[in-house]
Amino acid sequence: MAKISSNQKNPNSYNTSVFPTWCPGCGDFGIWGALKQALELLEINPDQVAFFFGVGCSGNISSFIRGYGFHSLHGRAIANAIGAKLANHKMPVIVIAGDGDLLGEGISHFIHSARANHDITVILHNNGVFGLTTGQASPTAVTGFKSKPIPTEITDEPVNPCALAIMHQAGFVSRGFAGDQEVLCNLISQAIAHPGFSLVDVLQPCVTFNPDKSYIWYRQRINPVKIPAKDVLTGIKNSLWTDKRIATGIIYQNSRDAFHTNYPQLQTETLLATTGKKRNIQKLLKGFK
Amino acid sequence: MKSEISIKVGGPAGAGVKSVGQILAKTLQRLGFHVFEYPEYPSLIRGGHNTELIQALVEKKYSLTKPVDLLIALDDKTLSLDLPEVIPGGMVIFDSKIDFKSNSSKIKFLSIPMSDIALKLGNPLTANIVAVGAALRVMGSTTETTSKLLADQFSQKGPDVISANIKSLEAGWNFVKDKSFHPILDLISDLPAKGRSASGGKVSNELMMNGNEALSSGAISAGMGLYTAYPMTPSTPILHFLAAHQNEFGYISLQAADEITSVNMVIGAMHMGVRAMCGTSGGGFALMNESLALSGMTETPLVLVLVQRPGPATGLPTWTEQGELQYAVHAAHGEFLRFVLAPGDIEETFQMAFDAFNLAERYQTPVIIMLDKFLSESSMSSGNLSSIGFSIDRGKITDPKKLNRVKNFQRYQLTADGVSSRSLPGMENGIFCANSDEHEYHGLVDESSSMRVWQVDKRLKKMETASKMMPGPQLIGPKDAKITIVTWGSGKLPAQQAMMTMNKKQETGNNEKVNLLHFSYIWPMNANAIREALKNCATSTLLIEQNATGQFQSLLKEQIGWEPTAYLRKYDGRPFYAEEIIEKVVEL
Repeated sequence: MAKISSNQKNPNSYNTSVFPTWCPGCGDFGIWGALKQALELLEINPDQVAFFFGVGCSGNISSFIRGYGFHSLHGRAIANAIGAKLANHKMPVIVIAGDGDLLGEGISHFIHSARANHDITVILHNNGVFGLTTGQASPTAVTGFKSKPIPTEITDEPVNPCALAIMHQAGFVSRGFAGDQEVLCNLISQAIAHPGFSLVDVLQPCVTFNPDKSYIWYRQRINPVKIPAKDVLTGIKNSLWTDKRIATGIIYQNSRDAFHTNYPQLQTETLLATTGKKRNIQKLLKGFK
Repeated sequence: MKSEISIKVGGPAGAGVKSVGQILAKTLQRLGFHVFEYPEYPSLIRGGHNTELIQALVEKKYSLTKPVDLLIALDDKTLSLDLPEVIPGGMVIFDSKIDFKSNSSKIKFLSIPMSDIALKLGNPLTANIVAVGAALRVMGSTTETTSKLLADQFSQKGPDVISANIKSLEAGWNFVKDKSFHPILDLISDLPAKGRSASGGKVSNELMMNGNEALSSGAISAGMGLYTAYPMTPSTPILHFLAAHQNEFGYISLQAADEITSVNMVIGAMHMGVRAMCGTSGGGFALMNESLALSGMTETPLVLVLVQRPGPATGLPTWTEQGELQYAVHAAHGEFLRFVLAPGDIEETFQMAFDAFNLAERYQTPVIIMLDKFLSESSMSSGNLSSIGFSIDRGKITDPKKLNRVKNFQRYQLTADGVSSRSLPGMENGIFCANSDEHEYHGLVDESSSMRVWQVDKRLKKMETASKMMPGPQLIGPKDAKITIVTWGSGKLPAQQAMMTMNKKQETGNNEKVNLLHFSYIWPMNANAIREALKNCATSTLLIEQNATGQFQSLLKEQIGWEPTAYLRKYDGRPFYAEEIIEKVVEL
């Protein structure tokens, strides 16, 4: 297991000229810090990583973190990311988006890429609310949540991204907390290192639009799992929220081959290395005579 | 001398109608004819009514004409639905299992126990091949060319499959021979010399290919790295074809979870520097729309194949229309450059795969290649396609060595032509953010009034640059024509067939001389080149297109201020027959 070394390098090499515009106290700060530390820890240079950002408060990180970025449309970052991974599978590909983005508009991309086990890392900023559009219920909003469009309490059950990913046997499924940057950094670095689909579902307080789920509220409930489950049923069971307990840590892990390893075309070279060169198709055309 | 033949085959889905069509088409092609093969089928897997129209001509065969000389009926529906198309003097062969008595004296009928013969040979599935054998004898041909063809086509399936098919072929041929039947034409004696085509050219240079295959072959040749699609008729054969050849050429072809995933994977791959393409039909294109804007805003190249079928909604899934031109030109939110290319034949389709990748990378924007069911699924004799003369232009991709000398790389720098250099993820010193939000030179979010205007102007500058270099329409045929037919996309095929027929008759003084003005580079419009070309049109013009509202006509009026003398529109899902165009031209 990777550990943060005590004499770590300066993670400011991942900073841009723009300081984050999130609300003071936003959980995104913790995720931002943990991500930068994790990249430092793995010795990935900013020009050696491809980020795909969703749209929302979390996606705004696109202007605050240095690296090759692609700020996608709401819900679509995973779909761009899996194309990018096939294009250059030697490069780490990281998706950063919120629960509204990944589990609302983007939920089919989330499920299909998890079941295909594409080798991408998904950092899911999970705050149970649409922050950037001022506080509507998101797919992970808990039952009873009140908001402007639904002034009465919502009755929908929340989506559980970890359970969803485990059910489809994604390679690495974990849950972290934005208020514990050191543990989160560890999770993110292991997720990036895992060769297959990796999820870091980050419990992220939204101090402005979901103040009920505060740092204290989470601290009272988070409960690290000791060892990752290897079987789906245990994993799903451990991933479920109860009134008193929300499991964190690596909840489930398997050793499935990553999607791209199934292609003989990618055994020696990337598509990037072979694309854009004129191919001789005379043999192919003979089939039409 | 009989210089042309038209054969229609009909039967239920699953009876091998397509195989009969392909085998007859390729046989005729190998015998040296120019061939056009057009399939019709409803959207179902078993039953229904499928047909193949195979028309062969000694001269260049561009498209369909109406008369049918020989009808091959594998079921009774064919006899009731397609019999009216058979001309007097024509002939019908049908499976003896069909309870049918004719009272026509102008058409010859021949009952052949196709199913029984196939069953007796132990291969009930080859009843259609028995029909091919019978048809060959009726046309006065031997089975030699077709046997060789079957051996080539089934070479992967092994000698047992080949010999079973050849046995059925010969059994059908022998059955007709034993009836001492007189052929309706004598193909073999029609050919000038063995090994030469009917027109005198070398047979070996001809290909029998449809639009989907031409596009796929072009994309492979143009260095495509990734193809993604979600199945949707009539674009699905592209996915199947490209999947079958991926290991041989080293690209990846995959079925995406849906069209939205498909187009976004392509954008992701293009962002990384890989030439990628997605394909779909109208409904899938609708789902992809928001991502056209994503490509436009982030200036990430995108190649999208839109194979049209009649809409709205599910429409007529397996039929043809050119009903999405205005949609393709305007699809997605916001203002940005996109290219719309609509090839008119096999050679243009092949070439436009090169054009599409080059334009997408040169202008860092979406390119839509528009086909339709008619061009996509009709196979036709074409010259031997070659990529000689086509080059790959990857546009302004930064040289990593130069990047090392740059202190502050600006991906979205303002430039004279609107196109700025792009780095690829992984290049040292080239970091940027491809941002769907409005952005400054590095791609970071910038909502200031001045930057917004600069970046909008930069993106639209590309439109100005591009429209100036877009090729104008092609004038085809005699310059001194009295009537010009104006076409776009696949309309070129039936219009050329009509033009050829009319100008041949014109030699005998039957009608006015006709030529053709064809558009395949649709958008952006090069107004100067188009106005110049329109000056060379005849005084009478006829614009033909396969939609109800005249979409190309409106576009020409809006952009160029030009209107044709008359128009001909068809929107019943069936392609134009040359006769329909001729009839309209004669009225002018």
